[in-house]
Amino acid sequence: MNIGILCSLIRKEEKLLFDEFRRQGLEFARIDDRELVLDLHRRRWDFDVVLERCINHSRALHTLKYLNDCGVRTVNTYEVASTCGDKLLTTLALIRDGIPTPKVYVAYTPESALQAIETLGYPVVLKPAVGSWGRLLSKVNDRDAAEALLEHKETLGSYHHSTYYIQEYVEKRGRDIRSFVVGDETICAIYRTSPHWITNTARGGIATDCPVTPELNELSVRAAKAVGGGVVAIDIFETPDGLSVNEVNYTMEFRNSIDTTGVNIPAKVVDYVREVGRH
Amino acid sequence: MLFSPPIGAILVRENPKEGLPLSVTAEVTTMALCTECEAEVPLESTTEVGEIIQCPDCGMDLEVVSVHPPELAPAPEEEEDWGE
Repeated sequence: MNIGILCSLIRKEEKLLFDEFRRQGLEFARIDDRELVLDLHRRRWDFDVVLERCINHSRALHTLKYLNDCGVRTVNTYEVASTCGDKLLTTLALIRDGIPTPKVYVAYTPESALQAIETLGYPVVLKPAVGSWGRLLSKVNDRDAAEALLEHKETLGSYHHSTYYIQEYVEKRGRDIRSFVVGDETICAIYRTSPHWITNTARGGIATDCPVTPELNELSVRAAKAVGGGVVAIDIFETPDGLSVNEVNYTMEFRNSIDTTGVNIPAKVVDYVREVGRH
Repeated sequence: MLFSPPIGAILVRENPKEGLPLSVTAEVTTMALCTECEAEVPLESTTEVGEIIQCPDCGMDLEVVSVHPPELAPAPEEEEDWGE
């Protein structure tokens, strides 16, 4: 089986995946996206499957589109990367499939964004539609903060920040859930606990094991399928009305979740890559 | 070749027989020089090209651009679309 791994910088996750491929006796070719020159007219590739592990969303997105158009199977697909890489598209996919998710308004000007914020009611969370690791998230508690933030975004932000993704603030009681889905199964989950309202482990959130209940499994798999399926990590709020899906990540990081859950996540991912490559 | 590499891609054909499992305690096998302060930076036997390590002397983030011979470069700055 000809396996490619599309990546650039090597995080702990990539090292663990490389190790697992070697442990299973599988050869692979590393494709460094920084060195790539894609000839868009060339349509034939001999990879059976390519595992995407780029740190740059834009490079992942464009390369996956190209590979998929060439008929190369990828983990994940362009569709999944495209949907998960944009919070607006993720929310639309979740709503389309009837999956509980916090209320979101989208606006394109500071004036209409302020109107949306006031309609939603304080506090709200403003997020860049494209972004990760909890960066540039803003919890807006009142009108003064909203006006200041919107002015800053309009003046200092790139064009990405002119799409205002405004999410209802969900009181997390100090934690949320991250579940890991591979194919049709929720393989494990963690609680992410932090005194800060941003609970990403990249921002200091502490990981502990979260039992995968039938409810959590069903919701996680449905959310994964809503964005196109594959290998994804689902961020979930616990609310008085039940579980609610916040975001879905398509190049998931899992270094803090292997010992925590006792599940060999890289092995599950590699098994899945083999399965995709066989079909 | 079983596959067709893209022009300019860095391809490392892995031989599983030579691969070192990461669960084995890594040993320092070679030293590289920090590009900032020229201190010696230890590279473990499991170090991968593309990995980010920190200079023990000046704290600078460094990217491993080569293992044999050992070579480091300043780590790239975090970009807006980095993430998971």
